Amino acid sequence: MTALTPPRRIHVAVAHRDPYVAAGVASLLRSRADFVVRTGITDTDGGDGTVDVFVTDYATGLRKAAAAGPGQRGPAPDALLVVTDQCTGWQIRRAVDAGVRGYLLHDCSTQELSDAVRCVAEGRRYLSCAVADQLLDNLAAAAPTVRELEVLQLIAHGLANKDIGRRLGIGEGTVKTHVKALLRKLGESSRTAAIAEAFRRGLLLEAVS
Amino acid sequence: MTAAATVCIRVCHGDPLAMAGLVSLIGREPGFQVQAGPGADEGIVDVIVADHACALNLLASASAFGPSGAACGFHVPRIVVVTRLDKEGEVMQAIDSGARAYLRQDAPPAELMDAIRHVARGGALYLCQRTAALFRQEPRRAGLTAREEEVLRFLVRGDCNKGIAHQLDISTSTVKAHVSRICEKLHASSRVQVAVNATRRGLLRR
Repeated sequence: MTALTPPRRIHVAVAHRDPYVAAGVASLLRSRADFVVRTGITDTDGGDGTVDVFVTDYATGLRKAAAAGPGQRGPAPDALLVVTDQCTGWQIRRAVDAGVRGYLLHDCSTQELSDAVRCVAEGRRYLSCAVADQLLDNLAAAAPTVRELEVLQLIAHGLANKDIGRRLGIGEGTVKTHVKALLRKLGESSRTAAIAEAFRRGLLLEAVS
Repeated sequence: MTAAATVCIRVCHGDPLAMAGLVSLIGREPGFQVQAGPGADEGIVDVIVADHACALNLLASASAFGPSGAACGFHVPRIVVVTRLDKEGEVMQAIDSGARAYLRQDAPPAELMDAIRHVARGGALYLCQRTAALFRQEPRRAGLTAREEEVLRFLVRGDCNKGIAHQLDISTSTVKAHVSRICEKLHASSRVQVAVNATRRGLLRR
């Protein structure tokens, strides 16, 4: 290297729910000279300014972002980089809104991982191509209203319009209006197809919750 | 083979990060010798640790040799699946294809090491705690026929009976019979419920 000053080493903390991803991220970053890696930290650690980038899973990332509090501008003391398989538009949107700075999917390459860590360490954002795609689709699509989402949940439970109306205390005609708006916003022509599209966009979570 | 013999393990995982983690954690375990990557026909390993897709590929190509292959001494791989896929249908698909162990990727590594030793000894099916719990909750598998699965695939996409009949080249009343049988098997009372159950339980094979 011909740089006059040696490049500053990037301090990375790794805490991932998936022990193999955690071990993989740590060993891959350790094999490069410009990273200092810390593992075996808990959720509550960090935020003391000694870590440049915090690599974690989706749930922990969101929890830490929420704990850092809203209204923070610029890179937080430890900028969050999430590695996850949550790939629907709404889930990505929620993470970015919460303050996550970098977002990678589990199948990313080792080169992409180190690029993302460097990028986030410099105070920029990093989204992988697939993630950026989903996020832009999400921004371009019309968002269902809160009431429409309630109706969607009940459709997913298999309720008919009449039962949905009774459950929400509204008339069947109103339910029909909501369903029609949902179909339009999801770009589908049947209830079943709308449900499939809702799963794809992350409006309904696949896990039984 | 003595108890102290080294267990040879090959790791095949589609995600580079998980691959690196598996190789480094398994390699650290005493008594284990680890090789990375697919292929490598030379040197038969005792156990293959693979993700869901790799495991199904390996098992499909092994079964292509058939019983005659086994008679010629063809080595049927003992596969430990390590994956993030954890739905009932996904687990069943791997087990039905001949996987010897199924572990979720968030299971503690100690559990994986146990599973590898168990499978290397020729032990029966090994499930990680969370996968085993899945079967305690829903002991009944859906048990759809191949034709019902085809119908389900179109139904989940939102096709109507007439459309499904046209695409499968069968009559509408046959489709109706399949749909009501699917409803019964999935304990659902409407098409939408069928679609939601099938998606959540991962019943549509990839």
